[in-house]
Amino acid sequence: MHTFESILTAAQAGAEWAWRVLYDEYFRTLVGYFRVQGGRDPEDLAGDVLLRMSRTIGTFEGTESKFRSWIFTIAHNRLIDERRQRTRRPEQPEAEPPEQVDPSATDDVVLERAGTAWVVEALDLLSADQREVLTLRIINGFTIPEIAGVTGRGIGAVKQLQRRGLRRVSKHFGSHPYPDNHSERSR
Amino acid sequence: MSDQLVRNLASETGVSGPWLGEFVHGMHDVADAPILSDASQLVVRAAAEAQHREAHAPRTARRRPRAGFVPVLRRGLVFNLAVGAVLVIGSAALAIGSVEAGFAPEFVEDIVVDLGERVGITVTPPDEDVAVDRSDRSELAPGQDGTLPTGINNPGLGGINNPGLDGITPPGLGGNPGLGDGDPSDTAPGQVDDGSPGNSGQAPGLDNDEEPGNTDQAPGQIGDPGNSGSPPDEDDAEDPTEESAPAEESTPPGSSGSAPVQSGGDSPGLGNENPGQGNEDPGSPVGGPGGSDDADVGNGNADVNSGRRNAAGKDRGTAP
Repeated sequence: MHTFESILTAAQAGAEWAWRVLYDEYFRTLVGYFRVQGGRDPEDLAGDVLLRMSRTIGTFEGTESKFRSWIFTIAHNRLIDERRQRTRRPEQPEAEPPEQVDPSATDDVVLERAGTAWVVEALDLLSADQREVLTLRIINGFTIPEIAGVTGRGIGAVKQLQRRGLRRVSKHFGSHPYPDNHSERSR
Repeated sequence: MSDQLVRNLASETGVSGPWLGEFVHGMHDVADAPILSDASQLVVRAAAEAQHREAHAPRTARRRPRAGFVPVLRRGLVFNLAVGAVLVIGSAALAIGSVEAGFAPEFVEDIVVDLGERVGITVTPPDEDVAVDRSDRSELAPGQDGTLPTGINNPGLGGINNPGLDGITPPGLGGNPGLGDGDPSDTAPGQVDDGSPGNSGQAPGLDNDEEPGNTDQAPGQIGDPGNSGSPPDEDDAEDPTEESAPAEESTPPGSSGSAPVQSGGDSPGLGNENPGQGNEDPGSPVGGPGGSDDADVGNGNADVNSGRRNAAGKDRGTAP
């Protein structure tokens, strides 16, 4: 059983086994983070975060908790870059459908199969900041101060974003009762 | 874990309800959705190789451009020095140019000239404008020939020879007997020579001889302004040249002096030969009853010679 320090030291030396451990630990979490955030290609974004980590992991010093916050700080910056790129170059519909595409392998289909379309619909009501705070809080299990460190905001601002986000979702469920969705999800 | 999180969220935000738990579970379901493609091998290998290259790369290759306070300060200092030098040189050139053109104020001129002398640059401000004082212009009296102190030649005053002043011999002084010299021997019959040259053409009967008892003058004829029949002044009779200073009155050039010469006591018509000068004075009709054309003649001469003062009948017969 490897400790975090040994894994970090090996990763800083370029050991592939250490990177495998880090990949298994954080890749899935990063994909979930980008997916809930509405990223265009969550897996690609998560892989990009790991590559960015590999460039600067040699300078990192700290505990596992800090390492985790550091990774999501990189993910946060990568998400901002992706949103800026999306604003500059909006996604244009392709003239011809790509070949050899499994219609069942798109992200929307996967989410629909998982019965979570109603959650995505509720998340789309939130602003980007509210969505990110709720994601880090609910999916990644960060505390309020940790979220403030990752996003570069104050603790009060993070609390405010979390409260307003949940209130908006609450209003949505007031007019769109979730039991129907829940029953659909349960099928 | 999820239940604890739901309770924490409810306590932190004040928002609660059965939907909250479902929402938290739903978000986890979204995040934990199956990954479509397994790129782990690719990502892990790429990350490991990248870190391996980074760890074993030569130090020189890893060196990056220096960033920090000192390099930035150094670059800023060089830039500021260059800009400052350009500004100083431009300001100096502008100041020197303005001083030499005469636009700069005095204190700027003093500073620029002083600094120029210190650094070996000669800055020559232009001469001051010559201010002509009005009192200087009036220093030359009429008849005085010369150049004004300010360097302005005044031909109207000093440069013109006044024949009325210089080239005329006053009557009675130039040896013209019978013309107002007070000698009755050379006076024509019927005329009275009272010694006044301008009054030499006076008609008989007018009392100009200062002799008491000669009271044949009609009242109102004596002393009327412009009338040559006024009583003579004793001083004038005794010394007719006393008030004939040529420089006292500004006699128009060429218009004076001719009448006394041409008019003797017995030349009553000569005074009217110069009607544009002395006889323009309409005072001749004031001669009153008993006067003659001689009165007009004499009046005209007096006006010509002595100007306004003669209009009062005082300086009759004065030389120009």
